[in-house]
Amino acid sequence: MVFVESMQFGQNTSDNLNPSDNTIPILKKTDEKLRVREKSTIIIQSTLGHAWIVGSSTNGLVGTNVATQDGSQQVVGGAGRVTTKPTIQNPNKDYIETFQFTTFEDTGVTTADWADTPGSLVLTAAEVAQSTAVAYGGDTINSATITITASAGSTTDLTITLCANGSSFESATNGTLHNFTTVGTDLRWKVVSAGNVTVSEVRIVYG
Amino acid sequence: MTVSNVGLNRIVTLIAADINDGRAGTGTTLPTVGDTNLETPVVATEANVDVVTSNNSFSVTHTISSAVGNGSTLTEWQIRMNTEATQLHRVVTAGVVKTAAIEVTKITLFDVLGE
Repeated sequence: MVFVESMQFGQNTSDNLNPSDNTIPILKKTDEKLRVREKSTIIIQSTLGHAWIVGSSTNGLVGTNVATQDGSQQVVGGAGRVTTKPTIQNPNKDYIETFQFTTFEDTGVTTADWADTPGSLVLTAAEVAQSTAVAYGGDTINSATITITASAGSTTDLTITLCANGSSFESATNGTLHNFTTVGTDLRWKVVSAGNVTVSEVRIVYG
Repeated sequence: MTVSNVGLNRIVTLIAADINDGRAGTGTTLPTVGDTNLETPVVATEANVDVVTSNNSFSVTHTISSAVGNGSTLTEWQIRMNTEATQLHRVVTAGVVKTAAIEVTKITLFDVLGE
């Protein structure tokens, strides 16, 4: 929202009711902005894994399902697949998490409710939220500032850690630049809560 | 006076409905707001994208199968809308050497904000 002060200097106004005075008229410019904000881009590379291919639509017929010779079920397609994320980058090295999606949730560690209600990360006492890599494969990350916004509870209940190499988490303070002892190219964040806190945004500016 | 949340969510829905496909290419020039196309498209990588919305956010997922784009080092990525006539987004990343042994998925996240 923008306010424009016009006719600011040396302007006297008057009407028929009172003597002139030095009232300054202020015009309110009522434009609102809509902005599409680009956030993270993730490149995922997957090997094909095991496959079972029918080479002919006429001779490659699939019959009635029966037990395989050893009695176990054969699962086709998923086994053996290896997935990596060679690149994760953010505009201006500015990662913004608003918890609308679970793209960056490390489900193996996180016990808090990550986007269960879209737009929020809900933590109760002793619960943990940890991200997967939120920046990966680019320039070496030497420092970062994490800013956590809570919509309920207090961020002072959160123990915050950051890591730049995917594994060495270092204590960080909300809103304060952190210089990494162990630098790297795999940025992650983690919080542990001492109380009930609902987080609406996590933002990390790194370099 | 402010732009309402339900209004933003509706705008996101309209944008999502207008997005068609994604493509990849081999150009390495950093993107600018004046870009209208990929620098060096690999046409075979063109594919419909999956768009998922959540409140004022949307994600766009473009998957390139193992069968296409092989032999190229993919470095630029595009999202198109308006029946493929308009580029919404272009990004340049480190290269992915595309072979028949891999499929590649690219996800980009966006918000629509009222300010």
